[in-house]
Formats: sequence, structure tokens, C-alpha cells
Amino acid sequence: MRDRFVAVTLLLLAGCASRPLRVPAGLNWHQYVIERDDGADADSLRLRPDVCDGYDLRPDVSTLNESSFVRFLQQQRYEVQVQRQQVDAKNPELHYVFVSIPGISDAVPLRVAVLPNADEAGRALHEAVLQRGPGSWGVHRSNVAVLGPAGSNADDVAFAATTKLACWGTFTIAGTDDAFVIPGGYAEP
Amino acid sequence: MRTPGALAWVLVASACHGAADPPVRQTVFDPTASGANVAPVEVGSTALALEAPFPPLDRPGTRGGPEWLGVSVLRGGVRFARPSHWMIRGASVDPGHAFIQYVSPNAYSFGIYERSDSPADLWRDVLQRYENDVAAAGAKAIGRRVPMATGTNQGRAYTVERKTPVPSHSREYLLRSDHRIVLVQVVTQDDNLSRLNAELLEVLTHLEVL
Repeated sequence: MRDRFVAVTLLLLAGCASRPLRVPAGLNWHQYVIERDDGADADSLRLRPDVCDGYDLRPDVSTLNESSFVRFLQQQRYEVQVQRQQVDAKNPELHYVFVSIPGISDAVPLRVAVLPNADEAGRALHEAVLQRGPGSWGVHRSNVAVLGPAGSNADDVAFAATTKLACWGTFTIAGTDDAFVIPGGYAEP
Repeated sequence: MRTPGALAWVLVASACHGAADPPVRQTVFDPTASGANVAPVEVGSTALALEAPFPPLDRPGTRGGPEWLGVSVLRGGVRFARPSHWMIRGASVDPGHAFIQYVSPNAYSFGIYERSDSPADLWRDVLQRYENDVAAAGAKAIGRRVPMATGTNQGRAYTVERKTPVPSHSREYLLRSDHRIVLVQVVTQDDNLSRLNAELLEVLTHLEVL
């Protein structure tokens, strides 16, 4: 089991040399969050209710794959390109999903791992963002974990909110020495 | 055949809130809680020392469901809203070891336990101590360290499997604030919590560790 987590973490880490996430200059991340305690640390943020207004935030208990995630992006009218990555037979499936976002010159690469269950998806994402450090982030829903390209916390929040990824999966972001969930979007108990 | 209430009581008894105490043979005629300030609870009553009303979190039920009662527990350290048909089955106000257990008619138990960890401790130390407690109690964490959050607190979620005294599964959450760390424990005999997801998410979303 431990080997599987190490493998997934390494797979999610693959391609670390990709460009950092930069959202269009006009996007103000403050419009998407409520800051508690007069602080802008990741653990004091909460998504505003209107960010996911109209989205079904009920916990998803079905078994998902990368197609489920791609369908969500396509429903947001984003252009998507999918590359299946070669992995050892004992490792979970890994796909790179490149999303074209208006205002961002290059397609944004998202690494999508399909794991056996929700616990493993949550844990794999946690380990991946901890290893990558501050600025790394991702979402997980049921058995699927998605790791995004690291950016500033502000850009991460703005990206996850504008693309509605935070309404698809539990939005997890790395702080200085730990990871935080930004509540207000999709969540699983 | 056990009724849901009886089943939930067995689940409450089977959960051990991560304590590392050695197992003690007990019969159904022995109270299982211990400690100087453990209070017997009159089922269905609201003992203010154990659970005080917190009206700002009150809200009506939806689609024929029960009302939600805002309450403050663990000597004011935790506030949340619970379905009105939950019943208190056990509680203690021992400083450092306070807890409260509820039983739902939907055949699960819900408990909040004060942990002795310092709120200044690093997550990794808090998690390791908790995992040691789980192992010492003969249980197995089959899902571990999944980041989660209530509306105001950061937490880590676990799925724990117990074989004795009855097979059970629990979803357990370590939640932290600047002042305390608590364990929230949901125990059921179901294979997973999917049947309870909506209700539990509602509870957790509005739960605040102060």
C-alpha cells in the first residue's frame, strides 16, 4: 500500500518543471473568498457562497475516472486535451489534461490520477502537495485526484474559483509547512 | 433482531475514541465510561453542563426531516447544529478529557472527544499520536490523513475499522483550532458512510471548534 502511495505521489510530481500557474492580470482573487481573522493565510480563507452557486455539491459516491473530470471541464466550455501517461502496471492510471483558459497563453496542465477509493485519492493529493511545497494545489473527488501547476496562493484560488474546479473537488492547497482545505466548495465527509 | 437504537448503543460502546487503555472485560451491566466527572445522562434530556443551547445555529428541518438544534459542548469549546432526534448517550466534563456521545435513530453514533494534544503541536505529531492510539486499541486505520475542513477549522480524516467487540467502521476527524484539538467520531456498522453523507456533511460544515 505504501509503495502505491509513493508511486502515485511520484506520478503526480512528474513534470514538475512545467511553468508556474499565472492567471490573467485582471482576476482579483479577493472576489472569490472570505478572509477570517483578518488574515490571508490559506487556512483562514473560505470560498464565497456565490462561487459554487448552482453547482451540485452533494458528495459523489460513484467510482470516477479521468472522463468524469474532462466532462466537467467541457461543461464549463473549456477546450481540453488529454494525454494518457505510461505507468507501471501496478500503478494507478495517470492522465495529463491540458485546459485552454481564456487569458492564459499556454494550456494549463492538470495531472489526473485515478485511485481505488476516495481515501487514497485524498491522501495521494495531500502527499503530492506537501512534497511540492507552498503554492501547489489540487482537488479530489471520490477516487480521482487532480494536481494543478503550482502558483501563488492568490493565483491558485483565482484559478480554482473561476474554472469551478473548487466546485468539482475538495480544494486543497499547500501552505508553508502543511496543506489546507479551503472550505465553501465541494466536500466529502 | 437489534433495533437501530440498540445497534447504535453497541456502536457507541465499541468505539473507544482512540484511547490506549487496555481492554477490560465488561458486561452490558457495566457502565463503560470512566473518570471522576463522568455523568450519567438521562436519555432525551439536555443537561446544560454537558450540552448548552446555542440558538444562532438553530434551523428548521428540510423535507420532513428533523429540526436542527444549535448546541455548545465540551465546556463551550465546540459549537455545532445537530438533528433534534439525536440522543445523548454519554458525556464527561473532565478537563482535558471531555467528551459527548450521541446516538442517531439512523443507526450510527456521533461523538466529540477532547484530545490532550497541545494546539501548538505540528500536525504530524498530532496525527502520529492519534494513529498510535488507534493501533493500541486494536483498531486499524484503513484511510488516513485526508485533509478536510469544517466551515472554520482544518482537519484530517480517517477511516477506522474495528473487529471487536462488534465489527464496525468509523469515520474520524481530528479538528484543530488555536485553542484545542478534538476528535469527531462517527461509528456505524455499514461498510461505508455513503448513506449518511448528506447528514454528516451538514453537521461538519457548521461545526466550529473554538
